[in-house]
Amino acid sequence: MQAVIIQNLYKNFGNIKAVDGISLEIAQGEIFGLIGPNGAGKTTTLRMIATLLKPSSGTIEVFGFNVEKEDNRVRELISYLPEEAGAYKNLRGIDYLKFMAGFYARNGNDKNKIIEKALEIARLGNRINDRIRTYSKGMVRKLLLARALMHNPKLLILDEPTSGLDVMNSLEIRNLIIDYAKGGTTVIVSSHNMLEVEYLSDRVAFIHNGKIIESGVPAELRNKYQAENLEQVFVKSIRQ
Amino acid sequence: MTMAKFLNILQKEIKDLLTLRMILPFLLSIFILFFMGRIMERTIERALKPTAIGVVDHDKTGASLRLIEGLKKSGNVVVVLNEDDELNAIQRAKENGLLMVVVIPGGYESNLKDKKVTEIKLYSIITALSITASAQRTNIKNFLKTINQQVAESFVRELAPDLNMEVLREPVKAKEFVVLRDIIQPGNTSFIIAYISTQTTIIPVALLMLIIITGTMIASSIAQEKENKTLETILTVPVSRFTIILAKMLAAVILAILFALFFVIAMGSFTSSFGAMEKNNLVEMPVKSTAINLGLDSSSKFLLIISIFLAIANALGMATLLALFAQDVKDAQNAIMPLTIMILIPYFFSMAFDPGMMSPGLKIFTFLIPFSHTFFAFKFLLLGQKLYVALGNLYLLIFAFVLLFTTTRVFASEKILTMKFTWGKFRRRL
Repeated sequence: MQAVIIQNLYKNFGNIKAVDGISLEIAQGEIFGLIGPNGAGKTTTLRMIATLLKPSSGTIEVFGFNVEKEDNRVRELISYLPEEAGAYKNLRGIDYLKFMAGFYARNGNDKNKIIEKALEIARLGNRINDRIRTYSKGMVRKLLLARALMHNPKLLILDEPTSGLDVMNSLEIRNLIIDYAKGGTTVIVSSHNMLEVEYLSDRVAFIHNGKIIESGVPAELRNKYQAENLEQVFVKSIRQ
Repeated sequence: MTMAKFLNILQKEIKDLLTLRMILPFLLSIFILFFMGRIMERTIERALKPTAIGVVDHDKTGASLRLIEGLKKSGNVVVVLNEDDELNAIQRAKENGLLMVVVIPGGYESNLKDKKVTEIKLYSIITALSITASAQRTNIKNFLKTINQQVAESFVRELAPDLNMEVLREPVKAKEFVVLRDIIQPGNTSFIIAYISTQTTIIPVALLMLIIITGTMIASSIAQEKENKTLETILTVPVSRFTIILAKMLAAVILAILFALFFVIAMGSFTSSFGAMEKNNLVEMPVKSTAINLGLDSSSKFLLIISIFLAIANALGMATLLALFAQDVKDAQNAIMPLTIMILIPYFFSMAFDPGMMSPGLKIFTFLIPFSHTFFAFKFLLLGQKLYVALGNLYLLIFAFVLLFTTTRVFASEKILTMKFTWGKFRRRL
């Protein structure tokens, strides 16, 4: 079964075509990278998959559920981490995790298990008991990633997961995503950092001016365009 | 499950709203009101104290002594000043905190005997311009009256010793009654009207603060979701948008009720200052001076409480709707400006006008604003016009439902992420 099926997807904001006729399929358990420069339409596409925006036309299905008509069912399956996501600064890290676990847990036991898992992922030690306003950007990002992963979503949507982080924190986050995906979760990750996506993804799609201009397995794309990395593939594919 | 999620959000919202930044302005206003009450009480008590008068007696005769005795009997504290020089006497009066100096000239007794006019000098020492000072200065007129009355009575007594002075003083006596709704009670009309107008001033002020503060609270709460970048996350968790917005509003309503209770207690303290007048038997109050017991019957009180509650609900709905388009807390303060204006207009109108005085056009304009019904409710209820208040409540209820419906629709749509509030126009954001 395909995790995500997108067909003829369009999204307009007034006269601006943010997404211009995208069609793609993402297999279950795959890490799929959506690559493109700023303003290419990556975030708009991810927001539509995450039920935040409604398509102007076209359809998106997540595990067989239509995101427009069955948005509540889709929200039970996904977890979305926006690029500039934040947490409630007045809360302590642990309270934030408890609050978010409350949306997924069926009972008290279940809630404790979800929180335990989040604590494992976040690896914040005693700082988890501190107010979020005292956290560094890297710590907030780890807390948010733990929030996104704690309830075992079937589809994880990550928008620029390492944006604004230093090398060490970025590497830690990337490894967390790879480790987690081994469990069979489907991941869609967007980034303008093409090297990062190449490192993470099983398959990638290049998006430019709202259109998918190329897609495939990174190694095959490098061969096809006689390029050393995906950055070169992207440049060559645009020129074509 | 849905209820658990609802309570999860509600609990978090209450925690979030109860930050020091949110509640400090409210606590401050209650604190001010509470202490204003205490200060007011003390001020009134001080104003009701007898006036301290200094007397310089240049005549030193039986007549002048009788005059001094008369002054004492009419409720003044009299201090006899022995300074011959008037300026020295005034200086001593100042040092002793006396408010007036009365100088009885030499020849006072002989002038009385010869039926000649005597000029008594009155020096008023102005030390303050407060309510206390103005009340005490009113006593000057009474004082002059007292002197003339005494002298005139002594002339009359000389000419007709058997005449009843009580009858001469007031051959036609007035006994005042106040008729308010179906209550007829003896009392001083001017004091009662002053009391009622104070009540109809205090209640709108309290209401104004309550509505604006709770409106600001909910607007900040919504805007904080955007400012902290938590909105997108909360919108993708498996809980309906209606549940989220309802929990947010309910949290604000719970806190609004809590704050309203505190407010009523503080108001009670403020209005109890009128008790000082009652204690001195200067005023016969038709109603007890507490904020809740406004001399209204149970059904009137019920209508007033419902009206206040609905006004808060409308303010919350309106503030939420306006704040949905704000990008941050500062933006939200600007966004709720129309709400503030809609509250200020009926606030000023309710203090300036009686509905009966308003032209039909002004009346329609005023009562189209939902909050007007609450601001005028007390006046209507005081005059027994319950039907107007009941109809106003119905209007407020319909308005609240429309607001809630619209707010939920906007919150459930993508507009909450794509629309941005700027002064005078909405701008779409990618």
